[in-house]
Amino acid sequence: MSYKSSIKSAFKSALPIIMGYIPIGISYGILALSTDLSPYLIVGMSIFVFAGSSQLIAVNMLTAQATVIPIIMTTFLVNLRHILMSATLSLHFKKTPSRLLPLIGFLITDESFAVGNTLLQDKKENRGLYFLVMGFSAYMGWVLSSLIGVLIGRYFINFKIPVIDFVLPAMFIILLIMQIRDKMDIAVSIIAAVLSIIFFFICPGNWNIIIATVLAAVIGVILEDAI
Amino acid sequence: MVIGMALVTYIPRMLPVTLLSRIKIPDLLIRILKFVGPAILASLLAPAIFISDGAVDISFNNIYLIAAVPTFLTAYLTKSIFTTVFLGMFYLYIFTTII
Repeated sequence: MSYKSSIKSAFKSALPIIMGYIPIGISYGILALSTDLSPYLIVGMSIFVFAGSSQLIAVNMLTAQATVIPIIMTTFLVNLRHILMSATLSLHFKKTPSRLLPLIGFLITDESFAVGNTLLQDKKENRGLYFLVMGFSAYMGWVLSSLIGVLIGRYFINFKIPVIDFVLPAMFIILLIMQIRDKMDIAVSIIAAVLSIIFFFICPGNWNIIIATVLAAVIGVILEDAI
Repeated sequence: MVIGMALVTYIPRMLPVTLLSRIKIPDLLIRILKFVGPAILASLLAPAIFISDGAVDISFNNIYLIAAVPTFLTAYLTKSIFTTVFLGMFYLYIFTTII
C-alpha cells in the first residue's frame, strides 16, 4: 500500500474514535470550568496529558478540594494500564524506525490501542506511520473537543448532557467486541471481568484493572495449554 | 500539576513500546500479551456496568447494565464505534425515561 492510501485509511480509522471523543471532550471542558483551572490550563491538560479518564478524575478531585500530589498519584495509577497496552503494541512495531516510537507511545490511549491492535495485524508495511496518523488525528479530536467544551461553557450555557456518563462504557463495549478473535478471548474476557469486580472491592485506586488483566491473560495461556 | 500528570501518563505509555520493539520477547510473554487486548477492556468495562453506588447491582434498577445489553448487540452486529456509542446513549436515554 502506498504512503498516501496508508495515511488516508489511518485517518478514516480515527474518525469513529474522534466521534466518541467529541461528547467526552466537550463535557470535560465544561466541567473543568467549574474548578479554579484557567481555560488555557484546561486545554493545556488535553494537549500535554491526553488522557480522558484521568483528566475527568482530576477535575472531580479538584472540585472535591484535592491537592496536587494525590491527583498526580491517581493519574499515575489510572494510566498504569497503558504499560500493558504499550507492551502489546510493541509486537507490531518491530520494523518501525526507533525515532518514531516515543511519539507512538504518546498517542497510545484505550481507543487507539484497541483500534491499532486490531488493524495493525493485517498491515504488512508502514505500521508506525499508520498508527501515528490514526493516533494524531484522534489526539487533535480530543484537544479540539475540550477547546469547544471550554468555549461552550464560557460563552454559552453550563449544561450537562444527561447520558454522557454512558459514552465511556459504550466505547469499552465496542472496543472489547473488536478485540474478540475466538472463544478463548471470550473466556479470558469473562474471567477478567469477574476478577476486575472482585479486586475493585479488595484494593483501592484502580489496581483492579491491572491485576485482573494480568491474571486473566496468564489464565488464558494456561487454559490454552490445558485444552 | 499538569506537568506532573503529563509525565506519569507519558512514561508508562512510551517506555514499553520503545524498549520492547527492539528486543526479542520470549514466546510465553507474547502469548500472554496477545490476551491483554480483550482482558484489559473487559476489566475496564465490568466495574462501569456492574457496580452502581459502590456495590454490585445485577437488577433492573441498574440502567447501565440494562442499556449495556442492546449496546453489546449493536456492537456485535455493526462493529462500528460511532454507531455503538451513539445508540448506546440512545438506549440509556430510553431506559432512563421508562424506568
